[in-house]
Amino acid sequence: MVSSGWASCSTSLVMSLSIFIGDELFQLKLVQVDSFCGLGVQHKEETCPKKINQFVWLRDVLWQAFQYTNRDEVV
Amino acid sequence: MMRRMCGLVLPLVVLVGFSGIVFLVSPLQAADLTSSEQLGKDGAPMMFIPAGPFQMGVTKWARDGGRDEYPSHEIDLPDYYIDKYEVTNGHYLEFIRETGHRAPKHRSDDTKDLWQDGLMPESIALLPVINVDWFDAKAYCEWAGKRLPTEAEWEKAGKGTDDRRFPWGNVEPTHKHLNFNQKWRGEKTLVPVGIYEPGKSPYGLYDMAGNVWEWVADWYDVAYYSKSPRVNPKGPDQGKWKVLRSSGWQVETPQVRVFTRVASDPYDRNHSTGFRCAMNASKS
Repeated sequence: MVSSGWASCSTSLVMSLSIFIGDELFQLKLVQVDSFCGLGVQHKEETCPKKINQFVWLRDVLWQAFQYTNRDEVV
Repeated sequence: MMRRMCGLVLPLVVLVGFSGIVFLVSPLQAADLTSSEQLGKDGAPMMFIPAGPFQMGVTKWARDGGRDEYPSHEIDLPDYYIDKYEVTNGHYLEFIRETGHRAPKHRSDDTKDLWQDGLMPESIALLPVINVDWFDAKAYCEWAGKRLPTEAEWEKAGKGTDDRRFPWGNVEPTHKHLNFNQKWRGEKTLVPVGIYEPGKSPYGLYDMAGNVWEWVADWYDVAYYSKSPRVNPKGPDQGKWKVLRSSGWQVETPQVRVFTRVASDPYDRNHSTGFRCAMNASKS
């Protein structure tokens, strides 16, 4: 299962993708944006629309790829 | 933290475990309950969730999560009760003693077991039970006169009616809210249930994020949110995978969201998955 998320800290916006394979959770930190984005979860769409669009695109590509994967073999 | 929990729970009850180990558990007494709580048959406190609508799925203002968490949609539920805490090893031992059910055990890796040769060390009595599959969880809940919550019931209990991102609101997760960002290091990976006061859900449930993933009743369907009935959805009629909700001790900050859903083999017993139970509020 591919899932994505973002979080803020004082100096950066961290985006990550996570993938469960069996009971192991792989978490990939893909993008760090500098401080102008770090305003809190509610404001990410306003402050970082371009970065978030890229990230959503990547999440959806991976999601589609997993849908076509034989998950029994992956597990 | 342990002291605070025990302060709620006098007198202590001494039980002789299935394994012959003597241990202490401390069930809440009726006098300790608030007006919105009641005790289940297993002695675990349950919170009352009032009937009404809530917004299920990824928050309207966010675009993260998995594609299976879309669209955000309104769901209407009748009232119900749900466990305030994740089911603990101590309670699970009572279930095993009475029924002869198998002990928790990782499906393939002994280093991920906390029970030792079917015996429960006293030190893990207040930790959430792990290494149980969906059928173990269902059997426990039925023994306790309860059932597994539906996915919709779990989510409403976790976030209330204001479409928040985390059980406690929209403030970024910290170690004051939940047990997360951990690597496996045996029993120290987990924390006793109910210690994160700032991490409570609007209905007073603990650990609705972090500590362990939680089995719910529903079969998994990636597109279920697009076709779910509006009133009291119970998931697809059949499937291959069951749904896990909450998040485990291993997740990092960006993955902590109350709307996260994961598909899992119902026969899988692993070291980051447990459960809690629910119950109808009326006889219907």
